[in-house]
Amino acid sequence: MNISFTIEGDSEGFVTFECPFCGSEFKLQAGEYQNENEPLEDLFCPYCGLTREKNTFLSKDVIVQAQALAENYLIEELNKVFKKMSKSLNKPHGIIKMKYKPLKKVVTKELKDKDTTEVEFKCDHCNHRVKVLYCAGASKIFCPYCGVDI
Amino acid sequence: MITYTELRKISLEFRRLSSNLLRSSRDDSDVSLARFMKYIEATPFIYDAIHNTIDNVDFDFKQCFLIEGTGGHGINIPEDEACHLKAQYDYMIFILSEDKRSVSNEAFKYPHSSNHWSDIIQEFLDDAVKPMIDYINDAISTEMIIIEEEEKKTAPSIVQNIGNNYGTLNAQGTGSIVSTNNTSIVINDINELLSKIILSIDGITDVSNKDRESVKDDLESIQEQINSPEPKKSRMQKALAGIKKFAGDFSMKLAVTLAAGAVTGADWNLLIQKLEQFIS
Repeated sequence: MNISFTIEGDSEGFVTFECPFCGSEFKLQAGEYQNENEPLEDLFCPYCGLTREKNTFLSKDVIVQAQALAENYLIEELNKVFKKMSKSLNKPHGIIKMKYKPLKKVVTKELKDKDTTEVEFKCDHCNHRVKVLYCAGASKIFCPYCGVDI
Repeated sequence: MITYTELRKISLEFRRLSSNLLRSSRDDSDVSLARFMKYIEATPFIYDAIHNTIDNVDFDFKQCFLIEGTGGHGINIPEDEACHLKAQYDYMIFILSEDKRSVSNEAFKYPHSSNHWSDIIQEFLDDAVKPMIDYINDAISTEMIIIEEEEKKTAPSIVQNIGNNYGTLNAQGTGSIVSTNNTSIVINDINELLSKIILSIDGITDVSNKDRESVKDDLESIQEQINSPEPKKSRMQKALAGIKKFAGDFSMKLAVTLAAGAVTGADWNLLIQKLEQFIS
């Protein structure tokens, strides 16, 4: 079973990710992240530089959305089963009766990235782009794709 | 003295090893810790960064990592950063050198919020070794910044007086430059973007006619100047300011689908970028 949903990027198609190590947020261009010709396994955090599987960089909002959609799918399936059961039990002259009240679905929201104050950087090594909050000269910024300093 | 390239390599290798350690599980946490500590010992830059700070510090790691006694373990972080660093370093060496110690066994004795081994180990490593990783990463980054600054200072300075320049200008201190003038390529790119964007203006919804007409005038003014033999910088700057304001005010409404293709916010940004490049 596959559940899919869409995340709307900012005006330049950048989507927010969150580092599992330091919790910092950064943005990657959706087309580069999902490029089928260059499949990704791991990402580097542009702030702390540590690396982990790309799925662990999904933001809290994305995880909450995925869980809500999975929960709704489960609720839908349960409602179908119990509705069918109640129909078959509640026949005229039947001895056993069943009251059926469908479970309510969880509210889901539209995932949309706004234009924010991050600065866009391009890696000289792999040409991928990243948007980060950058205080000039305060620290190094690492490329999320190849891990070198930008 | 260490070079920038060597530091880049060390930075990447160290971050990879640190990440492997911090995400390790019951099966590989001991070997990840051994590799991590071995790398620190075998890499002179990192070795110096750590040992210059901790070697003269007199602090018993058991004052930070409360591992004695019959109850569970605990952590009491010392105020002094050097003491904290020494405690982490000595504790990791202690875990590796004692036969009956292992990362997973140690981790299990600290308070934990999960029942999964991986979570328990990762929570422990986050508390027990992550500050040392951050310290080393900062030391590497700081050294890279220093080298970058030094390279900037030693780069030859060039003073050039330029009147009107409608092309690309390259300069360097010594040697020769092979330069290809690509102004016509930039003009072609701008013309292409302008034609596409001007056509899309009427399709932008939720924007007043007045604003649409105003930005159209600016775009046409740029088109006229850019194709003139002597483009007027001041007119182009004025028109560019109008285009920038429009793109800023209505950034979310700029995407328009046309029969011939689509205009996106990125097209507007690219046009602004190319115009800035052309004007400067």
